[in-house]
Amino acid sequence: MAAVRQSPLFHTHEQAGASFVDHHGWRVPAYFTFAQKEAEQLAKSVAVSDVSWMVKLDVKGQPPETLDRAGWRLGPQHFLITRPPGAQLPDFTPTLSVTDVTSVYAQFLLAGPRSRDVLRKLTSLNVATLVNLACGQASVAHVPGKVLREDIGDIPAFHILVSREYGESAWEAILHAGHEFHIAPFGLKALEFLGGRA
Amino acid sequence: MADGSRKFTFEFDGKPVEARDGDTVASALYRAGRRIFTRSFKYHRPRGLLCMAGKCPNCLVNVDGTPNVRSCVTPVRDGMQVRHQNAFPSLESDWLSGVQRFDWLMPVGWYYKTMTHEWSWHAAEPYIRKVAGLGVAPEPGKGSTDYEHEWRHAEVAVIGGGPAGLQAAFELAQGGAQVTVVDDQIELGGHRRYRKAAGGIPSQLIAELRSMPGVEIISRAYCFGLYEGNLLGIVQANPHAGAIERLIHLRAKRVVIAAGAYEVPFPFENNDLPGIMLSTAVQRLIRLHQIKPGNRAVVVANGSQGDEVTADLREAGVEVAGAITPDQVLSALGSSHVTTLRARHGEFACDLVVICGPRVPDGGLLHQAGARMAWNEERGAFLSLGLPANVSAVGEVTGAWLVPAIPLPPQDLAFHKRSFVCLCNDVSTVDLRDAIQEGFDQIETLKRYTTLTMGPCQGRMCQLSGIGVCARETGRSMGETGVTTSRPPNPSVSLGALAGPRHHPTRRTPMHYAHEESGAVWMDMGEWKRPRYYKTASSSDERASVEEEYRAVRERVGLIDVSTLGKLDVKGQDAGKLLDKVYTNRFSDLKPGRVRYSVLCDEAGIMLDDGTISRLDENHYFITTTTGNLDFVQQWLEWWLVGTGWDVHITNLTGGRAAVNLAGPKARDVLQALTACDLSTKAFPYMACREADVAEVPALLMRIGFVGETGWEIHFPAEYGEHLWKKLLDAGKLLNIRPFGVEAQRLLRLEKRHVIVGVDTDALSSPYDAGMAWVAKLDKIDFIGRNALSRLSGTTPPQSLIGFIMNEDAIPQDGAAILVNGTLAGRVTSSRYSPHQGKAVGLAWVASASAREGAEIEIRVNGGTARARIVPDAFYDPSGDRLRM
Repeated sequence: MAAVRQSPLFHTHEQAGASFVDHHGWRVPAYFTFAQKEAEQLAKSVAVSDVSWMVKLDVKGQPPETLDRAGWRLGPQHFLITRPPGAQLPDFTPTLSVTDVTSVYAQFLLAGPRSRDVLRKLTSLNVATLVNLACGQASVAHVPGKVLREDIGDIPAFHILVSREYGESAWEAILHAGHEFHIAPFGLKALEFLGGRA
Repeated sequence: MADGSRKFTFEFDGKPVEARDGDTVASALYRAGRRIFTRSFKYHRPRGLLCMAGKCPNCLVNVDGTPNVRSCVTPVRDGMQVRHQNAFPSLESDWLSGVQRFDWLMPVGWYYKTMTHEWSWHAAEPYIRKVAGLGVAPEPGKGSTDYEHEWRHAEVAVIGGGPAGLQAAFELAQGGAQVTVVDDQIELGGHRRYRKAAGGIPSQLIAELRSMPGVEIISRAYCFGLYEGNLLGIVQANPHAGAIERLIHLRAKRVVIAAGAYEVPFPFENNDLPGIMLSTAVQRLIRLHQIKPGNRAVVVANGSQGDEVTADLREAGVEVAGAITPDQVLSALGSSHVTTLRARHGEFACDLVVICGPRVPDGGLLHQAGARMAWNEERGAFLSLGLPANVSAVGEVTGAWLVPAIPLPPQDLAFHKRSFVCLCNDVSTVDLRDAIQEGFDQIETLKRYTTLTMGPCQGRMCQLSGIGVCARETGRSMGETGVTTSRPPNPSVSLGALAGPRHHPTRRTPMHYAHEESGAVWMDMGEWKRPRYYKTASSSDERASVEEEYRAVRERVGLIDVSTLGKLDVKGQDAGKLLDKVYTNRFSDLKPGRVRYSVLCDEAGIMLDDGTISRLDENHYFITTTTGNLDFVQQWLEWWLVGTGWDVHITNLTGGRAAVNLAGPKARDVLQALTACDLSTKAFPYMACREADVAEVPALLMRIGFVGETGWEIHFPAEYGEHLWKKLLDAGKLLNIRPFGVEAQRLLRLEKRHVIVGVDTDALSSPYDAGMAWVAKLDKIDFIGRNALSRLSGTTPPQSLIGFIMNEDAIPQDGAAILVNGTLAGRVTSSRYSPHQGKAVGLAWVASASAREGAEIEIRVNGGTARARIVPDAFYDPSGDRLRM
């Protein structure tokens, strides 16, 4: 039997009543209530999903121009590539140092018209100036984090990355901050209703 | 204006009170007939509404468990439970008001005058603490609900939603600026909300503002401080149903202060009686809450300043019995409420005295921004001068249009011990005069000696009058006397708001739930949660559990979660060079497939951290650090890399790798069942490392021996944490494998005399002090600390780290003192009962002169001392054979 890969929130999702499926070796929630309902909550207000299974690569070194479009620029010689598992990865020139950091981060997708309001309760980053495809590094829920904005269509959406061991802590803080807007978790299936990638 | 039609109920001291939409707690209570709202701090005098603006201390109540709430600015909610403060048994009859008869025992500065011996203060303090203070803090866990934090950014922040602030925001937004308006009332409009003569609320301007993109309005939010870099501290009340307060950090490129001016009282005999109110308070009661403030009023005003409120009173059906000027006032009469106002030319029976007092620009934020406060005679106020480039002021806060209400310094001041300047602390004009005569004649020392301005109102009500009295009594001008410093937070902020949501970041390993299932008893290691030991059916307490875990490792096999170790991935052609530079050991000559232990030292040769370094490949290393020290080590490495131009890339993998230590004479049997990697000593010797799959999980295996038995430290991707942990326990079931916790690990490593940097060493420890000379390779090309270590090499340090075995049956505690010949000679760092030795063993720092092998020392234990002897070797398997099986 192949080894099962679990996100740090696995037991939290179990307790929340999630229905699990296999996703490239990871055991992930397909939905918590109903996928369509979760998608509606996202489109109407705000919702959050645990996407820790996303492939993440830490790339350091003198970058070619193509890397700017393929990844998130964290510093002059520091990039973060995020891809769904199984997706094609960019070609890396030998001058680059690439380290797989998929396991290093817990990753959450916070999406919806109210996602900015929730984010403002979690981080001092200037959320208003964080436009689509921009990224920032700051304290998020009191731990070092990265925020990557990648909208779903015209719905604002943010990937929040924290070091994996803070996963449950950060998830709790996000749910608490989103309580005002009736935030709810969403699973894999909900994204299909929104045309998002999984 | 709020629609006053909806009625609901709240409780005051357990009795129901009716309220309407738009009511504050104070207005609802006043409408219901309440006139005494609290008792004063020192004399427990009855106090009623004075300012209706959140500026004075007279209306403080306890709301739903939260003490010291300003009821005049707190919107009332259905079901709210309000209780009075500082009066027993009731507000109407407070036993402690009898203390006024003993006021002669408590002149200004009476603490300093009576309690001149330390013992007298210690004797009096418990009683003073019981009666002092106003509100009572809620019990932990009670009386507090959720608090939030929020971070906002603005191009321009406008503080104050009155006419000046609204106009400024409008013009700025029209010019294309992004503007955030912060206002502390339930609706915008500032003083236009209650001053009819000023023209009413500018509704159209407000509607236009709300429709402009780029304009944000934050209501029911007060700004308590302006900090460096134009960071504004703001508290918003009840932002939504689930939160009581929200602390907003607002960073603005430019700040416009439009905080307005507020009214203050002036001193005369009995000026603190309920029924004596400021004119703006009366206007608020009438206009905002449709309340008739009294039946028969006297208006005290200079010139025509009282005309507006007189018209308002008449409109509200209040009989205006008289209008007099401030210099005409002699005293107010009444016991629990004003009944008469005595003036020079006659007496007025009344139940309401309306004071048209001086206006003070609310310029605290300007002062904090760096403005100088300068007295302006024409305006009768201290105005802010010299603002920095990105801070400006508009409206009444600038002092424009202010007209003095009373002469300052006061000319005709009748000193009376019930003529109050500071209402918060019951400081009278007599107290101020006496203090000045005693020599406290500078405003800052006068403040500290009398506690003027040091109460809940933070000087809002009393600073102006206080400066007036000081100026008069010292013969100085107002400007020469000056102001006391305004510091944030002003107004005050609840600790709950500052603390924010109850959220403490916790770090959990990937196997957290597995430990929970196995009966882990948790301990905190910084933010990490780690199993201290595991409770089982067979062991009765911690000592028994730890010993069982210990035995499992020594006799069979045990498994511990060490995922908390810091882990760094270091790649690059010059990686070896960097490691040679920062570690005291050599690494460029380490063969791939080998592990080496080393320490980091600073330039003075002090040990900063220790860890293992595995060479995975020509240009690829894997470093482990002490739990909790990763951030420091990574910064240290990056620091020394700067400017070298070396090709080295460092990535933090701490959260991304689960790690376990499988140890014991049977460890190999367990591990071999799960991996194809040859684990024999021949193929996999001690201090070697291999990359291999274990139970289908890609892993790095390191054969090292912190606990002193044959074993492997296994590092693998964190998402496989539970999977591999369970597989290992399953594979070891027949061998009776035990998971073991931090306590057992501490004992196991202590028997092996393994030092823990940061526990057995401190900020003064070099490798030589700690008996680890072998770790510093002085013949190496330069490394950080080499110079210092060269000088230290061969010298005798003042203290040495030694190992000891007890000669008696006593177990010293970590940190216990060590005596040699009766004098203090050191301290224990780690000490545990050693099952192998049958006695307690440990590590300790001892003066080097006494640190000889075999020497006897005494250790403080259980109130007495116990004898121990110094031994040079490990207490278990000193030759290390058990590691190499």
